Amino acid sequence: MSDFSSQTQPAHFSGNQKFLTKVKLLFFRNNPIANFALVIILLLLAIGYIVPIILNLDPFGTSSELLLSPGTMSSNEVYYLLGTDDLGRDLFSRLVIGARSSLNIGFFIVLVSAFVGTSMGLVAGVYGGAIDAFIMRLTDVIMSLPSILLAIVIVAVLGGGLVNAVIAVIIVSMPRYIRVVRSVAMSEMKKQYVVAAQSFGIKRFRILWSEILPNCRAPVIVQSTLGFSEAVLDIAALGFLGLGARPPAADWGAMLADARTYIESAPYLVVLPGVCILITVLCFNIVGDALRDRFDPKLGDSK
Amino acid sequence: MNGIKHTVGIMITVICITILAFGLIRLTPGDPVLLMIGERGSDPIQYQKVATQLGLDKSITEQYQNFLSQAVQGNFGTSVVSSRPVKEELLARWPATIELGLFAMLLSLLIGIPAGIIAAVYRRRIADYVVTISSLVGYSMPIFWWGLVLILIFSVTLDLTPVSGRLDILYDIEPHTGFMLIDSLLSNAREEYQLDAFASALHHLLLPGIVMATVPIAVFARITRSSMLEVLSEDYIRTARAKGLSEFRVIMFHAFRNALIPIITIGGLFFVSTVVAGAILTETIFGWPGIGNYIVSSVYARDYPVIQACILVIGMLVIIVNMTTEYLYRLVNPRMRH
Amino acid sequence: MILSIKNLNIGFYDNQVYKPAIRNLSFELAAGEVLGVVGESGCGKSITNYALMGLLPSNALVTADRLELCGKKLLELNKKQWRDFRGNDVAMIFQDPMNALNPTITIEKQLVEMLSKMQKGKSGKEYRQMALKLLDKVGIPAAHLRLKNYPYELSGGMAQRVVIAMALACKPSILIADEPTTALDVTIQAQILNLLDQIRIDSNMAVIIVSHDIGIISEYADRIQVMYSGEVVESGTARQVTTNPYHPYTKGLLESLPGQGDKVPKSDLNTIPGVVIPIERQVEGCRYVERCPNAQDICHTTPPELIQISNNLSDLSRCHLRG
Repeated sequence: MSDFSSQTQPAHFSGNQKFLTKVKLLFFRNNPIANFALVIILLLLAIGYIVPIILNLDPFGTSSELLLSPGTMSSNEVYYLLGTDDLGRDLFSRLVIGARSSLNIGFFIVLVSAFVGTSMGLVAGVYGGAIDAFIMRLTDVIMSLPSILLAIVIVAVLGGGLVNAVIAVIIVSMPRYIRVVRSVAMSEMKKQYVVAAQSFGIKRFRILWSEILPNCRAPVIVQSTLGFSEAVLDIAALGFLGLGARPPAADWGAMLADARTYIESAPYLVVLPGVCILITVLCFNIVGDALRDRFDPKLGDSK
Repeated sequence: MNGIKHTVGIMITVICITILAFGLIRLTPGDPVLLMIGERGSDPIQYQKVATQLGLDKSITEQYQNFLSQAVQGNFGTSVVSSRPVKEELLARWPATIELGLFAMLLSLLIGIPAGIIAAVYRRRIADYVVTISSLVGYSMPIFWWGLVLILIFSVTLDLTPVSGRLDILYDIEPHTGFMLIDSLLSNAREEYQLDAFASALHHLLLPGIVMATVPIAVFARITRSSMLEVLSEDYIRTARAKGLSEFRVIMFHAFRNALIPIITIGGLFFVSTVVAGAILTETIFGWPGIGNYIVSSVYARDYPVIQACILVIGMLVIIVNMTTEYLYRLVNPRMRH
Repeated sequence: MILSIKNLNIGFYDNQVYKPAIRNLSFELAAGEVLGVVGESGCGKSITNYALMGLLPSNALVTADRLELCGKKLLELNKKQWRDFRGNDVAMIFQDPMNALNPTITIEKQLVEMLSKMQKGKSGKEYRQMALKLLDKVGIPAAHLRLKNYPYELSGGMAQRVVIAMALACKPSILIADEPTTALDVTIQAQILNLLDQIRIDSNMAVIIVSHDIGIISEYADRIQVMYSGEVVESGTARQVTTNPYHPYTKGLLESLPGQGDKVPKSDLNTIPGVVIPIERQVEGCRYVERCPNAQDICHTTPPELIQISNNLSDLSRCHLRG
């Protein structure tokens, strides 16, 4: 954890030109909205990973006196920033821990699905033939069932719970990587220099590694960003349906499901977790779109 | 040639979906017979009956063939929960989902496409920014939360819309078609309640419809905007303007016609998944007695025959929509007509 | 005079910064006359045409002391008047005929759309006959079969003929042809240009033909106007400009043509070094100075004026170093 904080809050910020240019590269030219979204994402990372270290958060401790109390208060030397939920737990702590778990889950899902998806896409695009047909059929089937439905089906097979929900979402989010990487690989394979390399007897795996993989970097980064928001959304939806994280886990979706009962007496319990989900998903989508525009300007503002 | 390849691709996908549905209870840990009949498994006669029906003594290919021929006849077995045939259960709930889905589709086309056109025509003006930003928000919306927020505003606070269901309890309407909007207009209902029942049905449909349409509206607005922008920069639009045509004709007759091609392709692809995903979440929130709600409760109840049937039916629906999309695509793109 | 332009300036606002694109352009055109406009890409040839059609983007600013086409003051037209004007008095044909026709609409519909705007209240059959006549006129064989075609079913040359037919539908007094043959095969180019010439003679139409190829232009144009970086650098009769060019840029253009007479053997094809300076850049002296082989001190400090260079009033050149 300490490594991480030194990365996000670098001590060598001043004076280090290289770092400054790197920071500049991170932001977008002529796109204030995307920069704003990026700042929010950095803020989210800070809240999710640093606040729990600094503050002594207790997302599970109940209080029998303070049930469903909105607003800031303190009692028995415990400080409640955003009020309490139906069991008297601190809503702020639960939201922050929820942020951390959403981010963790999002990163994990993106990492695994991007890795597996990219590998499959590369193999399909480079080797073609029966392997390609098989992989594409697989993605067609995954894509022909709506992701939430497929996730529900997978959860139905494996049983509920966060781990199974994560597995389901990983499977569901693979096609986006497979398709984009495959199309890059296929268009690269047709290019003269690849054909030439092949004619010199260079092995396909080598071409794959040295020529095609680098060309996949940009689209995979874009898809990962968009995939991240989809992963957070799907996990929250499964949590909401009671098929993902289970109470008492501090998960935004599960918190929403809990709060439904109190929609009339404690509306803030419904509003806040959803706002967190929306902001996270929205910011990653905005940045994903901006990245796509940066990597492929001719696509412009397309979907 | 391409057509044949396409058809073969669709057929393989169909087969894969049936295998997925078939494999469901066999992939699940535990005794498939117990999974199929639930707690009634203690009854040995029942157990034997289902075991034979599943053909567990036969080879796996025979079992699959058996499953397929049953499914083609619409025979999906019996629900563990209600002990009624799954087919009946689905038929009872299907119209509610279709009604909601069509309403949402209407909303999303009627709002999303014009919004996208306006954004493209007034590019980099206020209208464009409003459409772009709100469609980004709509696209990112966790609709299970959005539904709750709308309930909070319109039902709890303002008391304008009902919280759940399809009709006020006041009205007792015989289900003829299953579509509440139609049933409430049919003769006997009409005589008894005039248009009140219809108004009530529409009233109940409003909030779930909006929730379900939110993501598709955003998707259509985005696609329409970007493909209109692309088309508007084409030479033939300049030609149309050089002919001295009115701006409205240039945009609607010359530009939109061409922009429709990507709208149909991408829209068709997105539509089913957003609508089905929307149906599952929206119906859960609003207690809408449709398929989406049913799937979720079946997963809770481990009602495997129902889950199996739902996968099959929705998978087929997706494929039918994709084929329709393909057809529409050919219709608007003369190059594809042969 | 059908067209009369005096001190036309066109520029674009880019993030509230004004960027000039055409500077102080003045010329006139009579009925039946053919004006050839030559210049490298990016010198502003097309922008003038779009201004004449009112097709400039909304961030463009057009000012002129006089801008009259067919007796109409273009700067005073409102949107509705512009629409009536386009297609009625002035028509345009474009560089790439395959993209100039709407790919999802049949040839017949695209023609009839134009015809019905010009002559309202006829039956579908009559419009169809008129469309057929037009296609015949532009030399499309088996025109009745072509009516039901979509643009992608035509060859480039055929498509350009259809575009010309569409432009002729309204019997314009002036036709603007923006690089009409650039996208076509060489063998088709001459056919299309001959067709344009034929039509011009038949209907006494004025024609502005824009090209980056001075060779093609010189054969068809009565007068030639050479543009460089948003300015006219030389203009005159086709004969004067091609045989006795004054401006070093015109000379450069002519020398870079393959097989232009016997003066230049093919082995010695010349090129003009460098690139056009961006139109929006302000310079002290002559805009061509960076690329000019015989630039003097004065060229760096004083902008040259457009000056009469022969007995003919319309033979003009923008160069300090005459002769």
